[in-house]
Amino acid sequence: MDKILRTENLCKYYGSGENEVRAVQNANIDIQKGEFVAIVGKSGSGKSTLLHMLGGLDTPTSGKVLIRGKDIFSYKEDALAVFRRRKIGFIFQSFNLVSSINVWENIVLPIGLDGRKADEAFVMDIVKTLGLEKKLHNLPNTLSGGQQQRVAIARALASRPDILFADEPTGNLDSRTSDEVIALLKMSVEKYGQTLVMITHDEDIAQIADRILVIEDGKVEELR
Amino acid sequence: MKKETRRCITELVLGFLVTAAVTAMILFWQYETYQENLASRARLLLAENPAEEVFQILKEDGDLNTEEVQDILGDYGYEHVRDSLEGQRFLRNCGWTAGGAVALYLGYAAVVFYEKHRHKKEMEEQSKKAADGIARIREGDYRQDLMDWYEEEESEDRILDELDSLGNYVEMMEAQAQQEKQETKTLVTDISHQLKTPVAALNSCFEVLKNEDLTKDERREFEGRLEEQMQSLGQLVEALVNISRMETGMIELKLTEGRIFDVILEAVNRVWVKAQKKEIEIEMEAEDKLEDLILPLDSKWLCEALINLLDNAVKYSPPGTTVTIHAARMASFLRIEIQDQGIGIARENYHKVFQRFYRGDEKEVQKEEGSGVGLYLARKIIEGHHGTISLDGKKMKKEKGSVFVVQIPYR
Repeated sequence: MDKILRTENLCKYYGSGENEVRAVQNANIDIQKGEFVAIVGKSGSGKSTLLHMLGGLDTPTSGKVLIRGKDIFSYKEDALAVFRRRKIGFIFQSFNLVSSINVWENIVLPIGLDGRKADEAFVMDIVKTLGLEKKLHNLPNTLSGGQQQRVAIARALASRPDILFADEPTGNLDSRTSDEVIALLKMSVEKYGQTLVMITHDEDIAQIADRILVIEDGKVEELR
Repeated sequence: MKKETRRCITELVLGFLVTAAVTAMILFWQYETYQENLASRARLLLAENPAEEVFQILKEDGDLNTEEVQDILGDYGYEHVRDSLEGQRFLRNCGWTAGGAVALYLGYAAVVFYEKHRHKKEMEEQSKKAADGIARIREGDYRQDLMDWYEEEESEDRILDELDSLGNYVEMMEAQAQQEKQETKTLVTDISHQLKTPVAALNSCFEVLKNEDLTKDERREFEGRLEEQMQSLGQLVEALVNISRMETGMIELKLTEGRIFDVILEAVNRVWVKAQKKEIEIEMEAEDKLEDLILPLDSKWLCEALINLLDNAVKYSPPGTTVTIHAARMASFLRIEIQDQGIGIARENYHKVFQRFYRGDEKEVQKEEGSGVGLYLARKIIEGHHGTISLDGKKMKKEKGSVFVVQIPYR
């Protein structure tokens, strides 16, 4: 299988000497195309730092992040930015929706910012898959938490990224809604052939993933 | 290419028309000026008091028409344009204008041709890039140098992006084929491993029975064991057949619109007898609206999955307990919870129970019949319905027993 995402001895240290904090230590991760991988860890285990490095949002102290065999940090900032907005999608715990524009505009916003025209049929398909078709003209803050996260998922899927990174996507949702949102996420990435890497502290949610990685004190291990 | 030429010709013709029109207008305006000048000269010639006439000309338009002017000037010997200095200037101006127009037009044509040439070159370059990309895919190198591309220039066209997606797709198909092959291999290994033990047991039982010194009681006992082992072997084989069919794609789930309620009822009916023997109640809690809920499902296999779940619940629960099925409609998924009051599952084994041929080591598990196939098959079937199956850890922490959560999309 093709390894879409790989890390080599990825490390991130903060501070130095006595105060050195090892947020991520020698992480060697292999993620295959089309996989749904959950990275589980308690708060403070370094999981968000790890995800930020995987997505090119944060630079490592040492080690490499290879997406499709290429070290993403060997490129100039501009090229990395283009790469990120075309090939990587992000979903956050806090949804990060723009509150002054409606649901549809939120969903197609990143496509517009990339100077592209949204493929309306494709985006509508996503919208239907996520059950948002009746909410398109609503403003985000008129929606429930679960619905807002669906909008955020739709927005991440709409630009057809290869990899989707989700950072505690259900952190703000109750447990039944969480289950459903994860099921939706899984269904969508399967449907559109994307790879999903999800960070969570909730082991129940991680069960649904194809593979579970556990991060503890900055060390990553596979759960078998 | 023809379209390209046609566009080029259209551009040239349009350019010509515009230039010609502008030139004609300038020439006409010059001619007018020339005529007016001549007219004023003619009036001066006719006038008795030229100084007075100059003031008249400055104040008002001359009322002489072209022919009159020509007649008057003709009388003085100015018959041709060239004869007067005014005419020569007019002709010179015409020449300059025409020359300028021609130069302008030629310049424009040159630009058009240059554009065409450059466009052609660009197109060639681009199709070469695309062709190279396709060639790479054909040669088995599915990745395009996207990053190099992004660094080189923030390009408008997305051919490479698209090619990259195509490459990814081809690669995924290839990997999938590879993986299927690998899975079939492991399946064969797993199955032979699973069959070895019961066959060996059967064999030893049979060996004992061949011994003629056995007492009647002993013989009866071993015959009974043989029968039992045959039965469980039969069940195992049946389960294995299901699994192999599922894995090799011989079972294809055919999702058609159907009433999920009927499927749940059918599954309950199928485990009812077994539950009653153990004095286990099966309760169903569902909203009224659920009876009419229609969703895409394969009734036979989804029923099989639910039977596996219910069968487990009954199997691993002590007599006198209750198995509860709770069904509720969420925003896009139907959520079915199957809760029992049985032995439960240890936290660290949550994800393992859905693995193929996994069985718990606990003695409560080992004493029951089973091949570690049921939950695996259930997961496969439910995933085939684009749904999920998991254990509800939060509930299980508080209460005794297991809670399985099945989610199936209903739209």
